[in-house]
Amino acid sequence: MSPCFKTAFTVCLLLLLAGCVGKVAVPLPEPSGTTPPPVTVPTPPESTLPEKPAPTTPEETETPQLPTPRALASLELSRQAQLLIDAGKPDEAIRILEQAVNLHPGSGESYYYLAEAWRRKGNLSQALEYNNLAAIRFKNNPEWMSRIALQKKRIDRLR
Amino acid sequence: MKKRRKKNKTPKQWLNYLFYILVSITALAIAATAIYLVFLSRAIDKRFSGRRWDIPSRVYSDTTLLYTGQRINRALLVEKLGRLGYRETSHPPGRQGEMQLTSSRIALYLHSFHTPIYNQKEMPVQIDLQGDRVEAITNPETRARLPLLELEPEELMLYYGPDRERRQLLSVRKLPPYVVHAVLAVEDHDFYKHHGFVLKGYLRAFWVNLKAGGIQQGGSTITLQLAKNYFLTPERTYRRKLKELLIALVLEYKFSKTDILEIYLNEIYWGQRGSAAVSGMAEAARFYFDKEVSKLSVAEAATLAGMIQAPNLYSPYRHPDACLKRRNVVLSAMRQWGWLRTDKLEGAMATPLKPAAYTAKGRQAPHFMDYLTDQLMELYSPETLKTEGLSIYTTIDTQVQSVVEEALSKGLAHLENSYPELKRSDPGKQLQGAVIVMQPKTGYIIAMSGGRDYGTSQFNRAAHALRQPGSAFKPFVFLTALDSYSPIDTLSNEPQTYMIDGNPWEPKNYSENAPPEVTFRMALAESQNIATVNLAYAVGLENVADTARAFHLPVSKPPYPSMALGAMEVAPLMLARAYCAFAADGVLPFPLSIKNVVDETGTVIESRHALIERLINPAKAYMVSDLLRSVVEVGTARSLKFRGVDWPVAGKTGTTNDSRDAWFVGYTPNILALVWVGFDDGESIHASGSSAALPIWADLMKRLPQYVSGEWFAVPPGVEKHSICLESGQLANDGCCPRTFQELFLTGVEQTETCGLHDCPSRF
Repeated sequence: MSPCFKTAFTVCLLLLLAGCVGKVAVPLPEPSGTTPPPVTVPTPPESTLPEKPAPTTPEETETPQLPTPRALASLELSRQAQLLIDAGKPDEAIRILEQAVNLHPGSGESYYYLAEAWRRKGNLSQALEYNNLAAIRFKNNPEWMSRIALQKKRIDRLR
Repeated sequence: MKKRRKKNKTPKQWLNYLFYILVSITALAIAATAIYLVFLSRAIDKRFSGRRWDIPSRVYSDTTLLYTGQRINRALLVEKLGRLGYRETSHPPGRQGEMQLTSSRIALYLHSFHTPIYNQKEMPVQIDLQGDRVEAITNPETRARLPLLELEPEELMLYYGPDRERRQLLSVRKLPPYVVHAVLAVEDHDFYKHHGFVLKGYLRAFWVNLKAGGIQQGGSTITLQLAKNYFLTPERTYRRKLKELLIALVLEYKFSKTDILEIYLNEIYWGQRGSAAVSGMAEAARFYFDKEVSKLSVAEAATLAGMIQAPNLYSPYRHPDACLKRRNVVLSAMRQWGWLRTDKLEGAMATPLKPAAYTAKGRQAPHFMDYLTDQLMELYSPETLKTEGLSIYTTIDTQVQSVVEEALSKGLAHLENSYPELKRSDPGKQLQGAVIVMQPKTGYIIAMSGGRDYGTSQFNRAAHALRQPGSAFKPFVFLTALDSYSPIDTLSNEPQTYMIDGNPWEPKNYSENAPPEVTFRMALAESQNIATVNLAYAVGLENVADTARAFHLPVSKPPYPSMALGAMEVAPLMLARAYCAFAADGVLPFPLSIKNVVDETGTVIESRHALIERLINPAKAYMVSDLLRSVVEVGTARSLKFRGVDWPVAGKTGTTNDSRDAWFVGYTPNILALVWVGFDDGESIHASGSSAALPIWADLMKRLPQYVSGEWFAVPPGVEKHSICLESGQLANDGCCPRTFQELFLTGVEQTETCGLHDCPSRF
């Protein structure tokens, strides 16, 4: 066989092999929920919030009556959000707190924690607005009012 | 000499020439094949690696919260559960997606779901009801009481590409072996042994085709079927078969067997859901059995595997008998290849075919979807929405949306029946309406209807129709005046002529018997036009205009006096948003429709929160709400009480010149709804806001007990309540003034003079 043929054959073989080089690793798609993801609400670490006032009943907020079911549900949501703030997840906390506010707009706790979550996110004007809204709802509750005042100081310090 | 040597070529030399020519041709052919293989390899990379499928983005509603003590609309909730894929059973739910309904209980086996902020594991729950109230929510397995229960978001729409494919992706490595075996048993039991094609099968098919004079058989392996799927058009030629064979070889060389199987299971067609193709096994499992692939039983996996050959012929919905027979063929094949034990085979064969309830979803909340699409287009291209499988979580509450659509349709039909002159034969010109429902504290748009029939007219009046608000604008005039007027101050209601650009203008009251003087509170409650214009002049038209602009309502510069009566154009959504500020302590929320956008990998790529902007102090917002409560209690919207709305509501009616537009905006601390009724061409509807728009509002709210708290706003600092003598209009002398009433004042604008008519005798 002539050298010319050998060269041509080698080139062809190389070309053929080149067509199949780069055996790729197929990027695997994410399974569509084949395993349940972990629960979002984390186990709370030691609270990093500067203060943790006891939840109040709606007598001190919008409705001068016993806690209504929606007030209790809103408090439960605020509690979940508080854990998320402690866990460094202000975005998730804000989402739950918005739900709490929509459910029971008289909830001072929801506004207080919204202020906290926005402060953690660094949006101080939103934090201040929510701090003001918490103050309206807790105007007759000295314990909460002092905490709200402290929160306002913390926000102002960052401005 | 040379010529002679050429002439004397020997046969050997000729053979050499021939050999070189043949070698050259062969080399060229090999080179051409190699180049073609390179081309194919790259094309296959592009088609099957990286982003291999167009996955439409999905739009979801908000989640639904249930809690103990909540009032619900049971019919709406059950409808929603049906849309979420819960199937009614006669036994207590034991499997995901089952639901048992009794008069005092809704028992569910929850779907597992995952949203950016919430994960729900599958589990049974019982919702005990007492009338329309949730008595308790319990997990019957653990007997634990649940304070809250969140139902998964509802899929509302898909942004399809041109192929209208519904697809979810799966990972073969996470599938139970019997799912894979079911497919291999009937499609390619030698899959793990061959290199893309089985020579014996291929030759047999070739022989059959040769005898038939055309392509009859393909001798298909899974790799060959995948290669066939590479082409988007069907063609049965030898040339195509050769191409498919080459593609199969390259696929086998480039990808592992597991990868090829995974591509195959995610790629192939599995029937139709309405007008959309069901593609891939994950989507098929969800559609036909309302399950994840990993949760399929052996019989269900065999059913899906059996459908691959002819998805519509073996559809469990269309041809259940054929489907059942085919499933049993698959099960037998699994046994034949040693992938199923005999006892399991018998059990699976005896299982009846039980597909999920068929749901071919129509388009829900179409005007809201258009509005949402406008918002999304600011973030993503249409191509991205159609191909990248984003999950878009919205603020919409489908229970409210369905009530809105029904209330609007019923309300407009009722108006047409009451006033036959409103009927139009041309559907494009019929009486129209728009409804927006928002949560005022956060700006969430929870329902939107931009017209009575999307099929006839896609114009979204809720977001885009520019209409005059009429008297619905008056609260902004009264708000501007709150710095200097108290609710008990008296306003002139006498007709007066104003000169505008040299022309006289004399506003008129709706009623000819209007009193010549009216209090500030009653002027708004009764929607007195003359008193409102006088007030606007007194506080300064420019000041009123500034207030309106701060609320993002467009007002001409310089403002016309008719502005006080709402003679400017606003979109219903703009007006609804502006009213939200009254219900939200004076902060104006941004209207929110998108909550989160999540990419295919589950990463949140866009998160939108309620953004608030302070416009007025909470005291003023409270005062406006209190004044608007008088509209509902003693003013133009007092008919609300007779329509069954017996909880505190602030509201304002609006009617424009010649009754071209009818409005009602009403709110509580929890919810705000705006209703507009009118003709697109501006013809008169011969009805007022209180008779045309208000009934729709009442009908809507009565059916949403979950949003009715019966609560009122907290009194903010800066608002004072005083007892006023009815006769003198001054601060009442305790126990001395015979008739008194309570009135609210802004601090600094309160009444300071004590009643001079009823002096108390000295107590000493």
